[in-house]
Amino acid sequence: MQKKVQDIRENALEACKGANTVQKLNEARVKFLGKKGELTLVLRSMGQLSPEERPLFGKLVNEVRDELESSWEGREQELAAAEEEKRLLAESIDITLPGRQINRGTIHPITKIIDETKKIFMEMGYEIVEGPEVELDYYNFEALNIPPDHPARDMQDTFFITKDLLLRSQTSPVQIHTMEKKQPPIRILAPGKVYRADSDVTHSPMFHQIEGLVVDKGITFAHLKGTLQLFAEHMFGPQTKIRLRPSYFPFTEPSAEVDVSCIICSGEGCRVCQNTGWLEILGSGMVDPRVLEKVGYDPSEVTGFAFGVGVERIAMLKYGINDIRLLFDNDVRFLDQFTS
Amino acid sequence: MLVSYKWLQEYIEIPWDPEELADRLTMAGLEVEGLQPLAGDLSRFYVGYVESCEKHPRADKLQICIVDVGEQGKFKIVCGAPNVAAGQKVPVALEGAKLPNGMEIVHTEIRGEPSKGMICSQQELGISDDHEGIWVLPEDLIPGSPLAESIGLDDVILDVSVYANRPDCMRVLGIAREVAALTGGHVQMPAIDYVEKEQAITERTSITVENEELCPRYTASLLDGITLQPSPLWMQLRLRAAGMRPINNVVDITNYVMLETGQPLHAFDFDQLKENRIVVRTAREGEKMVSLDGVTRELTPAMLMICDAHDPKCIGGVMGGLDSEVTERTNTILLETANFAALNIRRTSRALGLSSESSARFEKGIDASGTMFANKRAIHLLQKFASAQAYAGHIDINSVHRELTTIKFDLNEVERILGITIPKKEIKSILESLEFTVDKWESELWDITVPSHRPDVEIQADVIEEIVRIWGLDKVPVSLPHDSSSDGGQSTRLIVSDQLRQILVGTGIQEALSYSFGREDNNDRLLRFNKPMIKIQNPISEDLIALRHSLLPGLLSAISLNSSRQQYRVALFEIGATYIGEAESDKQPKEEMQLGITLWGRRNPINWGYAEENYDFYDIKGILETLLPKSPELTWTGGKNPSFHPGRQGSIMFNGEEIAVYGEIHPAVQRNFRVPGRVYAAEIYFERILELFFATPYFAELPRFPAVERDLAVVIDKDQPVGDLMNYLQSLSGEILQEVLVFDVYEGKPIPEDKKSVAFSFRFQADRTLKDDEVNKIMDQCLQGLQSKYGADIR
Repeated sequence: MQKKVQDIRENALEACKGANTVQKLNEARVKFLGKKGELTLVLRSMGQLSPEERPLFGKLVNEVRDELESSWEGREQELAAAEEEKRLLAESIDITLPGRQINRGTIHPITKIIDETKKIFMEMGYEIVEGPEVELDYYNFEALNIPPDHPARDMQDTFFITKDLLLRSQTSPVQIHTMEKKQPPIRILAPGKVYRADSDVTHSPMFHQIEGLVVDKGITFAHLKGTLQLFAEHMFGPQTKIRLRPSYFPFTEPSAEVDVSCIICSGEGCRVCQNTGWLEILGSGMVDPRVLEKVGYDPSEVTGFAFGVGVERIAMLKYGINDIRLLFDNDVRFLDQFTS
Repeated sequence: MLVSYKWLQEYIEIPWDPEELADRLTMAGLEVEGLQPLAGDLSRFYVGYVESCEKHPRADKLQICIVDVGEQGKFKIVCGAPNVAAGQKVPVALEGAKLPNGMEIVHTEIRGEPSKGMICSQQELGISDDHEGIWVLPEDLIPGSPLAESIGLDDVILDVSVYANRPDCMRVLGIAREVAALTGGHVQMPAIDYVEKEQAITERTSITVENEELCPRYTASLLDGITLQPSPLWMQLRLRAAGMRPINNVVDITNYVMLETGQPLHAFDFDQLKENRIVVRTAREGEKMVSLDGVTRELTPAMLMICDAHDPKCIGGVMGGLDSEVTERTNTILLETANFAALNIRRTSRALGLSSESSARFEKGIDASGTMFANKRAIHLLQKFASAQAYAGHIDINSVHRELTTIKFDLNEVERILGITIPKKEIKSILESLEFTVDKWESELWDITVPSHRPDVEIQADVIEEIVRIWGLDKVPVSLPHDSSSDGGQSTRLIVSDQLRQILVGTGIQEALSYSFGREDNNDRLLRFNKPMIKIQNPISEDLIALRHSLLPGLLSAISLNSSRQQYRVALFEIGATYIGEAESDKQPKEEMQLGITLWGRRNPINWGYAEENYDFYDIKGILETLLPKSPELTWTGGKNPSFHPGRQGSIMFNGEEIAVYGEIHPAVQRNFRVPGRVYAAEIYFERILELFFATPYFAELPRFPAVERDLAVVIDKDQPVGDLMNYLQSLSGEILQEVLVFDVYEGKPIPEDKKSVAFSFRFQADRTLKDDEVNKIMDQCLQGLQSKYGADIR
């Protein structure tokens, strides 16, 4: 009897090992472990044994059954895994096909420069303000120390709507609006559109400026230099140097043009900076006392500095754009290049 | 202004080479925009002496010259110029020399005769257009000496950009003074001495100034015995360096003195002046004059004329008249150095469309005290180079009685404005080098007298600018303003603009920027008739003349451009101002910031994984639904905007005011803007609902019990808006019905032709487990309502 059990065990293990599909494995299971399977039948014939032998025999059969059950389970897992593997391989796809890309929107390069500048100055406590684009002569010129018939207000440069109404040719009128409404301390940044009758590769009849104005007790030219140095470093990188050249603006005194060390060649000299190592990016100066007086401030009490940045100029330098008109064509192949 | 380095050196010792000088001037506020050598590389060019000159045996027009080039040797050179002759000093290019046009000189043979070099014309040297023959040089030059140094061609031209407030630098002497301030040196003034005749000018002529306001000063001298001939070589070269063409000695000297002193001069042929006298007056109605350029000028009474006893002979300060021009027949000249009112010159010049070197200077304002010096300087030169004899004295009609400006200067201001102290002595020395006079300099409150050539200096701040630009802006330290109480931040409309931009970029739309002005008929092209726009008086083009009412024209034009450039998808938005106001009034228009969106072409990138579908109405509507605040105060209704398709547009209202219009652009509008296909667009007047963007979110408890979902499909009339059904169903939502969505709309078989099938999805949710009964009860209510109100049949 015991020999028979051992034979069944060996045959069963061999059958389990030999089954190469889940189906064959199940068939073998029925043959050995099923209700009418060989092991079951052997157990039923236990009646022929003496009462003393029965418990031992029962134990043996149960041990063999447990062993076989676990072999079957192991084999079944093996076969299932192999079959899944096979099925998955059959599901292979062409991963070299392009993915389902989504449309990506872009921020206009001009807005990017304005946003960057706003961020730099908002961190320094500047308030971002706006002013009208259709401006009164008074704000665009007269209050800025540009009296009638001053060469700076030439008809050729400014777009006029009526005798007293014009498209602002600079963001500087926002200085006046702000100072008329508020008392110092003042710390504002005014980005916006400005207009001049000029059109070529570097001039557009509409362009953008960012005006800065700080008025308070004790504001000095040194503060202007420090502020612009900080701006240049944030905008063009920490290695950027600035250079101030005396200049002339009717509403600042002293006035200075500000150059940054060339962002292309780092000051070595190249085509972009015309071998000077410097790029002119903005105009600045100490607010002319006559301007402060016009808005009712006492220039012996407060001083101020102002600056005006040409946004297109910076965008063209920073992004290497060689024709200003590209900025207003809205060619999507151009816009697509400003994704980050 | 173009200035010769050598010319400057005549008045001031310059310790710097041209590059460094340019740099120093730039850093002192006289921006040097460029440096240019007067001539190209002239190594291997020498002064030669033509020893002999014989006819070429095999060519009629060629000469064989033996040229002595000093240490370089003697050379046989074949020359074709008709004016070459033995005994001349000439410029010679030897082997290896390179002409400015790129040609290199080599030993060659011309018609069988060897030729070892070239005798050059001015044109070949690149200094003039004169190619009438070889350039015969002054006799005193030494053969074999390098050409450039011998005749002053080794010069560098500085292109100085002079700011509008510094007309005193529109002259070589003015720049020399700036250099002196930088070096601490002194300007050596040019010679003005000459010998006078015994007869006084007043015996020959008279000057009457009728309008002293427009002509504050008129200084004249009279010279005779003029010999008209070319001016000396050095003068010609300097005029060329300054961009002027040499003409003859008289004209050249007036131009030379103008460049030198900044004072324009005019020479009249005295014999052409009727009654031999000058009357300065405004033009009479209808008067005409032929100017030097041969154009007949129609004059107006606003223009100041220099006349003889009868007729205008010169447009004062702008341009002379043709019939009193100095010619070879001229014997006597009346030399004018006058001062004219800047503004009137500007207006006259503009009215006539005529500008000159003279008017350019007068427009900016000229120091009236300089007329006499310039006049004498010109006489000095005319005597020297045109053998002119001056009548004794000048006639000088001078109504200028301006006292020099004195400024009270508080020394403490320097530190208050600049943030640094500058030594007192240094300040004084800078000011004095610029010809300011400093009084009471022991105290802290100085009296500073401004020289007459610096009317731009009026107040303390101007003086500080003078000090710091010479002292050096680079020496001002760098610091930051102390913290102030002003707070950062920006206006609500800027915050909302930024927010809208971010969302739109996230939905795959690109930001565009177009001009604020466009065609005058842009509103008509949008089918928004009778809405005149504000117009620019002086546009640069008819396409950029009228201030926009809408962002759509710019965006539609962009689509048109992109479609013509083979793009298949254009999704753009723009945020910018529109300008609504009376076209003719002096009142500022209302500038409202708006958002425009246009979608055109394919919805998705070209990709095997996407269906080839174009944008449609529900794309633009969906974007607005995503973009705009979910506020019950916004009412979404049908629209009536003429720019949009009458059957495919919507409008959004807030407090009875339209805040957005959207839909498909009307095909006629698309034709007007040359846009093919269909465009879906929106105009959003977001400034009218700014407050809605700032609603603070309020958290609702998340459901803890499972939701029950049900679907319901009904068949309704085809033209029944589904929105009505949605509104009705949403009105039933409440305690347990949370959400009703449309998940399918179907037309076609087996649905009858005049019907459509609409499928809704319902979501029930409560803070407990829902029973089938209560859900069924509401579903029944929904169905019955749809049946009775909208004739819906269950599908």
